Amino acid sequence: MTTIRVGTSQVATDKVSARPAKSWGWDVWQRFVRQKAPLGAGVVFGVLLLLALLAPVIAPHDPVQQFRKEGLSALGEPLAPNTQFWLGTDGLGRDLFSRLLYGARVSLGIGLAASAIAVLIGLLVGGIAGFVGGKIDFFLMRLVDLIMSMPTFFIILLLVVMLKPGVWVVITVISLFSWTAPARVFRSQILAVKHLDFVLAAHCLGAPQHRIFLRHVLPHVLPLVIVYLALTVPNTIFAEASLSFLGLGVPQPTPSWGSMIQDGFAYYRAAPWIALFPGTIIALTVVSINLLGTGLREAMDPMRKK
Amino acid sequence: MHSRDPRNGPNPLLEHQYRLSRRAFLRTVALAGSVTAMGALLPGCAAPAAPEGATSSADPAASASEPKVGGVYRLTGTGDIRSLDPPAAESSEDWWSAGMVLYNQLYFYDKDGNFYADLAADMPTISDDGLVYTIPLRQGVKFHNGRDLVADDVKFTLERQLWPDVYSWGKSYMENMVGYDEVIAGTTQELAGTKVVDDYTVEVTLKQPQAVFPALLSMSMNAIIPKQETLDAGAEWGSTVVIGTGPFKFVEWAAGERAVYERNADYFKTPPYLERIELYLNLEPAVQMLRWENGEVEWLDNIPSAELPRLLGDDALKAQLRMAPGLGTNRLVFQQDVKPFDDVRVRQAVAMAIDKGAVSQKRSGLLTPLEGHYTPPMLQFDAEFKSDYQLDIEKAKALMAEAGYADGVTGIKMYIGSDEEIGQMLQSDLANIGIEAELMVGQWKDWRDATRAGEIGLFIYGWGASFPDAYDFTSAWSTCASVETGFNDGNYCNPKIDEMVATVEAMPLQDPERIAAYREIQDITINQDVAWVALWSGQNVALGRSIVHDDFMSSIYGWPYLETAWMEV
Repeated sequence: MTTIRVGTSQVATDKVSARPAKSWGWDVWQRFVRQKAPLGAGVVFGVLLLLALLAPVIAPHDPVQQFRKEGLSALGEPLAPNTQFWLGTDGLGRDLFSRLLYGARVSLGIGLAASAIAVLIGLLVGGIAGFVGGKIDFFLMRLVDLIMSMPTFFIILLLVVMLKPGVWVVITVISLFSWTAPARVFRSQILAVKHLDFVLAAHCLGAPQHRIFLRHVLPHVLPLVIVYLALTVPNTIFAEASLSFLGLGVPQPTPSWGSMIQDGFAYYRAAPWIALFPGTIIALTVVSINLLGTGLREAMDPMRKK
Repeated sequence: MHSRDPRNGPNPLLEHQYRLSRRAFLRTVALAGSVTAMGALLPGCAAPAAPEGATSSADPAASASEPKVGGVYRLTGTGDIRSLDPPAAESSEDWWSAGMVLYNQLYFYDKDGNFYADLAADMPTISDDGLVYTIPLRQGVKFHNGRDLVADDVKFTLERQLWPDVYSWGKSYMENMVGYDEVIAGTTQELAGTKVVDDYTVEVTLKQPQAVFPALLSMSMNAIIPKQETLDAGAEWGSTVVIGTGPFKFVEWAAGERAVYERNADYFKTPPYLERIELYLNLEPAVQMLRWENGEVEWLDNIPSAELPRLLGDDALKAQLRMAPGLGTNRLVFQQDVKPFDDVRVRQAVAMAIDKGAVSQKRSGLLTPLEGHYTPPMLQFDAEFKSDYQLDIEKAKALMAEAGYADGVTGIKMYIGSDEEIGQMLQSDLANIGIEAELMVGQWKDWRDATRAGEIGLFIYGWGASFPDAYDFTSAWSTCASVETGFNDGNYCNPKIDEMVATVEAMPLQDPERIAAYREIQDITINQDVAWVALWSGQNVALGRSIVHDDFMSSIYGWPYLETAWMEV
């Protein structure tokens, strides 16, 4: 399995097939580790994931506990970073470091889950549209156009308000509006693949449609799925942060990065670190996942290599 | 002079005393977060301008001793002006303009809460049955156009605001006056119960004895307006034609932008010192703060709450704050008809779980924790009063267990107004005794239906009185009658309170027995029935300037007294 294409039907296997036989995964890995920035980004993202997973072990304090005596000044001000509260406290005397760790679980969790669902929907819709074609393709693609033409964030806001904010509502609503771009890409890839000779060959050998789709077409889309998974996550993390910032994310007092920025908003002059830390972490996460996604795309697509 | 008529039986007055008046509505919304509801935006700007006081004089006592005429006093407000017609002035800026600047009322409260005769020459004489108030008027008071104020103007003022085609937020406050219903219905324009005895004497007849009646006359909607001039101005009245008796005269009002007033040199008391007042409207707190720091403002109405510690922590800045205890009270109210708050033990437990001191500290001490729900400026406030339910988590938990909620309670909705920070503090306090509360944030009007429908188990209600007397609180949300007609949205009803109010309202305002009765009502609601937890009262806080003197903060209005204020110019 050495032919990887993105939206093109060109056949370019000579160079690859000339190399000694190695697994595709090894190939991708080799190409990935050669890129410095994506590799670094991958490490950063891995560390973030690890911190999120290990939050209960690492966090020095309960993230919702309000340290009203030790965590606030005599006038009720939040504390700057110090030895007891490494990143300082927020307006309610809660430990910012612990909240950041637990907030990562919420923000990354929602971001990853929403992306996974979105890509899955995209794969389903794009797959059916591309493979079946005809009227179904037409209808599904018009649906994609329709959703893409809508001011999605405002509709997300509206839906969340109507459905009452909560983890699953946020995940569902975000993913419902994030699958269109992957669906389009998957469709065009499938369109490209399904007219290739080996698919024709399978047809001629009498293979049933579902077998052709699952065994011969889908594997050519999977690398794209991984890439799009990575490229969708930043958007969903942003969407979650924006909702939480507006008070429509996960209900208080559960921390999420977006709601932490909101908590710090009123203090942006008196205690700028409250918003600065979650803001920085969001930026770091998004940049690292973006780099990771780009790196994966490069690694999985030999055509893109210079 | 005064009479007592300890009537028995219910007071019909109470049955529909408090309809949802616009003013009350606005106050309720505004006070939900009290002082802390102030804007969250702050300017990212340079250090504050050096306090002028420091530069203008090395010896403040020398320059601060002699009031001088002159100076432009600039104020910034977050809100807009709707109208400068007293009964229609209902937002913050126009309410103050009408109530304290351009007009006068018959009676008023000074900065220390003392009730005094303003346009009236003296306190009213009350008939033996407590129904007829004879009010002598001050002579030689001139309207801004030079005409003398006479009794006819007073009668006109009292009846005009009740006319169907005149907008007033406060009509229902006056419904105890004889003739009220006919004027409201539009069958007549004349208030039968109000008589002009002579040019300087007015007589008002009431349906029921009502000790607070003189206090109602101090409300801004009863600011005295000139009869003929008002009628002649027609639709222009209150916008381009504004004629009062107040310390400052109307100059101009640019809608949405600013209002300008100037010194009334013919004022019937000592003429004011300030030459000119400029009130700037519709300004974000952040913009106000910038202007103040640029030295462009003498009175900043909305200080962003995150800025307060900085202002309070610096002596030079702190000296420029203008503060007065507010008349507003905040309570955590229980929905009495709904589990688990139908059980008095749960209510007691909640009362013992709330850490008011921590909230007060969080707000830099500008919220004063309350034991009872009366606030310091009120006649009936009792500094000795103590709640039986002081902070005690263990005892509270024991009570929860006793009530059958040892495993905690989930699914409680709590309406907290707009201050989410304080809401989260209460949420955490409740979690300590096993009550898991979901916060409902936002404007009161958006949640009131749900609250009244019993969907909200706990809610923070703020309430600002229009005059410093417990009657306002009691009739608005402590009586059984107020479940239907007022703001008693927790459906608390103890018929004894209704009886007590009916009895003591027949007594003079300051009668010790009347005061004692209202204190007992507070004890019943707070300690016996635990109808709500008294939380805190806010300070009215604004940022002034050290070069300005005697611009005292008003407890009622939250804006300055400018009658005697002066500037170093």
